[in-house]
Amino acid sequence: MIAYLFRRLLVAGSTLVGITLVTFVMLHLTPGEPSPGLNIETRGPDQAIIQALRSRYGLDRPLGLQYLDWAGRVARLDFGRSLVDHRLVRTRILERLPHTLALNLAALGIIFTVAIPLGALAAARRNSTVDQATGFALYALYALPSFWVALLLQAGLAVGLGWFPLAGPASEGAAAWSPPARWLDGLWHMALPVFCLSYGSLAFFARFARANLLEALASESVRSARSRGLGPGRVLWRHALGQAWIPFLTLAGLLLPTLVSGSVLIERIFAWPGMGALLYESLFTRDYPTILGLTVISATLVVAGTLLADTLYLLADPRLRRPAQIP
Amino acid sequence: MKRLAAIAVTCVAALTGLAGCGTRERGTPTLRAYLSGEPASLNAVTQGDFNTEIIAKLVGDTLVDFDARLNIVPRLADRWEAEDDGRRVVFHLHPGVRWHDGVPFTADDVAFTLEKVLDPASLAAGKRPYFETVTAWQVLDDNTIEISRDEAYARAVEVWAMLPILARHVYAGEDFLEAPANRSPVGTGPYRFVDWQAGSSLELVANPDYFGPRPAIPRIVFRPLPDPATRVAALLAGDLDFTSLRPVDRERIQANPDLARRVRITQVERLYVWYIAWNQDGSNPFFTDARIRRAMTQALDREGFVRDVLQGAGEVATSLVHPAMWSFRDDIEPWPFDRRAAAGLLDAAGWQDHDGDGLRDRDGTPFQFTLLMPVGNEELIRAMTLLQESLRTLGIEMEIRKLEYNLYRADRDAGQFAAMAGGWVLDTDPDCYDFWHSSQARGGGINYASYKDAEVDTLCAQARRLVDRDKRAAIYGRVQEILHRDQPNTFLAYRDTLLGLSRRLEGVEPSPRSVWGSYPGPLSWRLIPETP
Amino acid sequence: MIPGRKVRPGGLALMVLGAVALGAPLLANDRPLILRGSGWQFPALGEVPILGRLVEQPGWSRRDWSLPQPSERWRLSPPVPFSFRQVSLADRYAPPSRHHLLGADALGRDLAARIVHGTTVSVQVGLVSTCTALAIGVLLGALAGYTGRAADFVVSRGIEVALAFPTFFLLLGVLSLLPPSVPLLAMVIGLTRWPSLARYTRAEVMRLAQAPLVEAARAAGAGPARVLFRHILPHSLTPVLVAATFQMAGAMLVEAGLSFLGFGVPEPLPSWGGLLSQAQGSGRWWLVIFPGVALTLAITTIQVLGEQYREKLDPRLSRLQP
Repeated sequence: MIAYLFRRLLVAGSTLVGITLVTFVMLHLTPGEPSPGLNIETRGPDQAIIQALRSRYGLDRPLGLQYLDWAGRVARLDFGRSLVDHRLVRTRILERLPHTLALNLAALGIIFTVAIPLGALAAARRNSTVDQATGFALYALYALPSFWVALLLQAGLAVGLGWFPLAGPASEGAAAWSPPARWLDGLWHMALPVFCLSYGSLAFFARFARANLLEALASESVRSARSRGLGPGRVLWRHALGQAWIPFLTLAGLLLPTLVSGSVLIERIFAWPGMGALLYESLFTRDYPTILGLTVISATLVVAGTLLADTLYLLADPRLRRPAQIP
Repeated sequence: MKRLAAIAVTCVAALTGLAGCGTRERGTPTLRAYLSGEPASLNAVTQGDFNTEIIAKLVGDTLVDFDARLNIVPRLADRWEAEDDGRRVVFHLHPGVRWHDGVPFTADDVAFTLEKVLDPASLAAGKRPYFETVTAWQVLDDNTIEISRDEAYARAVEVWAMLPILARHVYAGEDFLEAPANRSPVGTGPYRFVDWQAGSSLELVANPDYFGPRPAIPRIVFRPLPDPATRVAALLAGDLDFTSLRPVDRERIQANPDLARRVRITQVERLYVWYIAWNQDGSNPFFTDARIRRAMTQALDREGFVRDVLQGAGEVATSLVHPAMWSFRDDIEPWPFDRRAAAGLLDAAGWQDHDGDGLRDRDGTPFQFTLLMPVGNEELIRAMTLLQESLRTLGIEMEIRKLEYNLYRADRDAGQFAAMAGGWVLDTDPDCYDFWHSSQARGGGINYASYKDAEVDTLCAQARRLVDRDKRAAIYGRVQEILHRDQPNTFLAYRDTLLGLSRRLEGVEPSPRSVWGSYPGPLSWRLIPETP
Repeated sequence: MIPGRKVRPGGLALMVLGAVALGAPLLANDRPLILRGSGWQFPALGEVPILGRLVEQPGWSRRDWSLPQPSERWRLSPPVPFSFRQVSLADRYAPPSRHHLLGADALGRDLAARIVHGTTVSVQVGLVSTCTALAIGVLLGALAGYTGRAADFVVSRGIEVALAFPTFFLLLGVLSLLPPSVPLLAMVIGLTRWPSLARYTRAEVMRLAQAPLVEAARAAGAGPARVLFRHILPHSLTPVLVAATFQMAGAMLVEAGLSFLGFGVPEPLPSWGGLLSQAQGSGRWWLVIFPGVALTLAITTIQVLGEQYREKLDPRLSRLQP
């Protein structure tokens, strides 16, 4: 086990390097100059300034050297400075991280608390009208494009009825309020964006939960429990759930990367200062350090998530594979 | 169960209580404004975007500024002398001005700012070209500074309207690009910087010690709202005090009496024009012929575009000179929308459908080309779609290629296009050298169409060395005539700004530059208490 | 829903979708279906893909069909007698009426025509991107699952790299370098979606490699390639194809999102996402509702079909491995 983990960690490290290398190369191959002050253009490009920017950030050095230098600094958790506002990339990312985390954690929370019961319900009444109807409704939900729903909700619930705020993470002046008030205010502002982020995944998770529960219900140990006289209902379900949560955890591991990836569309519509918006802006201004910083973070999470998922699966697998002892 | 219900009720009550909070007026009267994005920094020298400018000119001051009618008025400089056609300018600064941290402001700060603008390492891409020809400056005393150039420059005083002065002592010992003052600026201006919650809000309060007219609004809070639809919704919901509207928004508000009651709408000219540049560098066989360019102009229903797409929020353009500018010739009639005339011009130029496939051709080459344009300009896309359809019935195939701005710019600057559409924020000075002189076609110039005309070359070079307005106006008038005849660009339309203002905001007199872009401008805005 | 009669609705809806996508020029066009003049002509047929080339005549594509044609006696117009691109400023923002069934957009273009042709675009994007993703994913997945540990290692790392790569960036970067075209756009989208299909394939191939049938084939002396292609892949493809149907829906949503941001299909081709983007802020309900409904219906159809297909095959396969 330990040896396996060690090997996997080594591999994970090399994968990370691979990801950063590919991203680095692609970034520099895409045409277009980094352009800090993009909006106002009264004259053509000023060569002296372009040159000053390039030499300040070492962009005129050979690519290989740039990459090695960057990689070395990243190993010390120094992501460099943004080409756009010259602040530490670390600071820029950390500013946005809480907003994206809050949104995604809330979304995941909703998905789990809604999807599991739905899946259980569907599994309990398999192939009934309820099952089919739930399935259909969930697929219809998935099919609704998130930006469309966001626009409709904004127009209907925020502008029309005034039940929710239009945009932004907090009300004006909220920074001066007491923590509980700030909390509630934050939740209220999160409501619409979180909904838009979560409803689409409900289908996937509910069906997943359903499938897992069905599998668990049909498994050896549960059947043997039944044969021992345990009736249907709570006791049986607890048995089934006890086995279903492992693959679910595996899935959770794979969800790790989504925690810090923002949705550009939702963030734009709700003016949410998250990582998605940051990546989007950075792409257009060719802010290489920021793009690379964001890539490193998401890559680390993907690799960590895969590792976690595989490890959990391995832990779970021997138990599942071993046939239950029938007395 | 009862406990759960109690908690739920409390939560709902708290939330609805909070809901009321946002819209009720509390404490200091505050102007609720917006920024179209997060400014990267608040230092207007290093950073050129609109949002930075807004904040920098509220927290800081420029030496001179424009009023709502585009006249130069004093700001930090009480008076000035411009001699020898702008080769020598002396500014006399207002005495007794202090920075927000109490340190006295002196002419040395002006010198510092000038040093920084001229230094390429400051990355002052938007500002440096205007000060490039400055050869020397001298601080004569605490309130006087002299600036010298070797060449005549009509705009020697005017360009200082775009440079908020920075304090030398604030940046002492810091890297200019990384200094904390770029995030929490210290200025001399009518407003002091208070706080910036990145992504959320930026707060300014009135400066009680301001040397100029005291601002009537004590506090301003900016929110970054990049999406135009969200901004309009915020205005209508009472969360924003003003925003620019699109024509559809105005239509919608005027059609709904309930909305119309909440919001006042004004239309104001704006120094902005859309154009299509036809590449005349010979890389395509079409646009070196002026007849074809004129045919293109007449194939586009510009009047219909202004009337129906812009809903009257604009005017058909005849050149890059805006009607609000002193050099504008209002006696030049734009070419009318006339497809038959366009067809005639194309025929005369030899482009006819020789092979019967419905596409015009000449010498075996079909008339098809690609038009380059940036992503995101909704109205411009519509105009180009109109042109595309119109050309299709004329036997010309125009493909529209939308590119992300950075890539669009790269192709545009390199001349990699047959036709290119874009918009210009126009300057307050009609200098046409950069736009039309044949030397400005590549390598940093903005004569994207590669237009070449000997007379225009001479005239533009001549006019930029003159200082006398009347003489310049005469020359620029002649240039406009020639451009009208040659149509190196199809000038689409000038676009007006439609401003939606909340009922509690008064005294807004927007200038053609922008809502914020005049002096004392925002200082005379007032918030009247809302009638319940 | 009656147990046992599950397949019908999904399959039918999918056929309708395909029919609309292929037959869009016959459903919405300013060209008449039948033109009776001195002879018989079928102008609308000329725009149908592949078949149309047999019928199409030069000059048809630029003719103004709203005018009476030379020696025209009568004509039969398509159900929506508008082309998706003809503008008419006089009709701008026309609400739904008998003239424009679903209303018109900001330039007076008929919305029904644009939605119908949007189907072609979306289906094209869905199919091409999924085929691209399948081609790459299945190949790499099979390689990883069967050829041995070295290949498995390399491909699995490749999958991780592809997953961690900022796909949006890839999309924008590559799209900007290519000439505007729907198939190219679809292929690029497919390029960002192959990893999960590769994983599915790999898992299935690895599973089936232990199956008795495969052991038998190997014992009979069949070479690895033959075993892979003749015995393993056909059986493993089914779950992968099920996953692919969901990929297709996802690809259509990606394209809609791209078009919404302004980076999707080239003008004047309509895309449902692009239609929604153009509708934003116009305050015209028909511009916002109808394209959204079309998009939702299309995707739901594909999903339902995928689910039913999967159920039919093997209930056990309902375990989704992301």
